[in-house]
Amino acid sequence: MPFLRAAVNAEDYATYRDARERHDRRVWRRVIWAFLPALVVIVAAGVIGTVLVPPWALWGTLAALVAVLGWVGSPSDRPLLDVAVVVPRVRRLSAEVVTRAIIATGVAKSPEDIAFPVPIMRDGPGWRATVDLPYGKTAGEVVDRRDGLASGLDLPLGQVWPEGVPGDSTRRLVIWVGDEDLSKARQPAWPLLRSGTVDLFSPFPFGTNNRNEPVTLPLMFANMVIGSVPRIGKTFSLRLALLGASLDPTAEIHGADLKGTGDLDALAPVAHTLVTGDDPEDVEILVTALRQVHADMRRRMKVIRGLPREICPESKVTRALANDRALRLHPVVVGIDECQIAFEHPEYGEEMVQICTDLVKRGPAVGIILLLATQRPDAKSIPKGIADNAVIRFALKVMEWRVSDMILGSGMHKAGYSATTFTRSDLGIGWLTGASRERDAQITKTYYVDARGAESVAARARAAREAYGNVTGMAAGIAPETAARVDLLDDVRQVIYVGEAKIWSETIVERLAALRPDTYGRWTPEALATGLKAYGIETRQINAKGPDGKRANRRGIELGHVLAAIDRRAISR
Amino acid sequence: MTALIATATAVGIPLGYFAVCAIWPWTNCAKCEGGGRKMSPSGKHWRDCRRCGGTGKRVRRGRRVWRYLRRQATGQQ
Repeated sequence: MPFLRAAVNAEDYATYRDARERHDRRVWRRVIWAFLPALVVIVAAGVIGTVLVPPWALWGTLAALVAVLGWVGSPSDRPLLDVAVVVPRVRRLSAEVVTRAIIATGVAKSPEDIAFPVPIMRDGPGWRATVDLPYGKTAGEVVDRRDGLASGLDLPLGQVWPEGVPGDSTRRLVIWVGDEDLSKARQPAWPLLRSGTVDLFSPFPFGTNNRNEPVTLPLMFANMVIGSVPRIGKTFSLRLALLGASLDPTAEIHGADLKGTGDLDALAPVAHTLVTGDDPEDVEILVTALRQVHADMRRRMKVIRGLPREICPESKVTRALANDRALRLHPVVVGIDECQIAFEHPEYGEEMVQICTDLVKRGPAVGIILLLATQRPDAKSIPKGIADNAVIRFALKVMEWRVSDMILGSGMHKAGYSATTFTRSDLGIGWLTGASRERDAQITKTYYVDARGAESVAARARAAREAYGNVTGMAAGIAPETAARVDLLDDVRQVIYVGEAKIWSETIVERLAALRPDTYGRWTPEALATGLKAYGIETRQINAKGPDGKRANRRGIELGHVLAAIDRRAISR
Repeated sequence: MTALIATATAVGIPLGYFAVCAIWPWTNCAKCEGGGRKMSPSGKHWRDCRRCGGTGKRVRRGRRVWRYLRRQATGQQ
């Protein structure tokens, strides 16, 4: 329409209108002639097809049409449907290539130095080469130069997995070469994603190893430490373990996401305690929960001690005992992400370290399991007493072999198990030790369960829990007890100083007001008496020294009664 | 949300005006408001609008700007 555009440019409306009208008329005529006959034919065919022709003729026509069009449109050089053949596209791993690769790493100098005690063979979706390195060289040296080895094999890094052989000579090396890059290989969905429940007393699926075999996690009687640099899958691994635990309807779940990004929020429908963030009140919830678990542990010890040998032969919780509601020995799983925040907390850090140390040492036997995730489990972020008692270790990518050894245990790097060999794209892939009886350590890729998947799993776990009748704590909508809110008993204990066996109510009220003005600021001795009555502590005439140093008879309490009440509460919880 | 709306507005309105200028280059004359005629000062007679020459139409300002810019860019005419 250059003519129309010229008319606009010349600002000649009369010409434009004239030309536009002619143009529109012509175009309309074309449109009508083009589409009207087609419309008529379609409508006529529709009428005939629906009214006059039987349906089988209609389908027959369609089939014939498809056949004819297919025949016309098929490529001339080959038939439309081919014979189904799966072409194996796996390259055989030869001893020559392995030798070349090891020489490329510099660990060996000439092919004569390297021996193959076992022929190279298929192992899962990959090849397994067992190699004896020259005397004096260790498997760890090759593991260190995994990238060089991959280059020598002319393969991407994610396909080459050298490792030592535990319990064998340190010069024996196993190179497993996968057909696919592990970080890119298709992984099956978590078997528990859509259905199924978990019995925590037997292992549940956690991931797959590099041979694509399932790896299970036996959480019962084993604490777990997860470590890696940030953004590699630490929290997801922890969440997966907690989700698995929550699918055991008898288990009590405590989750703490001290990073505070809400990765564990999916557990809200099932968690007895769920802490998100590291604000003072969040930490208080965590501390209170840990105190309760700790007190519960002592109660459990007493319960188990009191059980006859026939029921409890090994002095530890069994499935049958856990199922007996009256005993309340159900599994308790506590997962803390970024646990260094808790353990280095200025106010509660020491207490939490003490509680957790005790929990990891004595907890497993009575069914209390601790899962800790951190970036670098050094002496500060996971104190030694805790780390040494964690049986299961999971090390995702770390930067330094020392850190890897901190997670997996010292000497593991030398033996050829090092989490430094992972790359940043190896999300959710790490060395898992202590999870399997057959294999000391295995490269494990955790099942990927995203936030929505986690929510649906939690919903299923919630349903199972409702059916079993085990929806407790925050999951049941009960506000978490915080140190500031509830523990009158602990607070009273706290304000009774050394050497005070008896103390006036008014002195306690004064000290409580100083301790927590928000809570106790307006308390009277009568209010204290009412509060303590709930714990079975009576106020009575007490002869004690007042603040002025003079003895007098006033209403008050005895330290012994408070201690007894604390013990009573610990047992009844 | 506010930023989204602001961005959409800031991008959408000029784009819309550009499209209008391309499809309907003409709009009503501002003086006679599309009538093409104006009342005489005495109020007794109708006269052709002097600005649009009695057509009642003018080319949109955006179209003129576009034409000017094109001319500058291509260096023609």
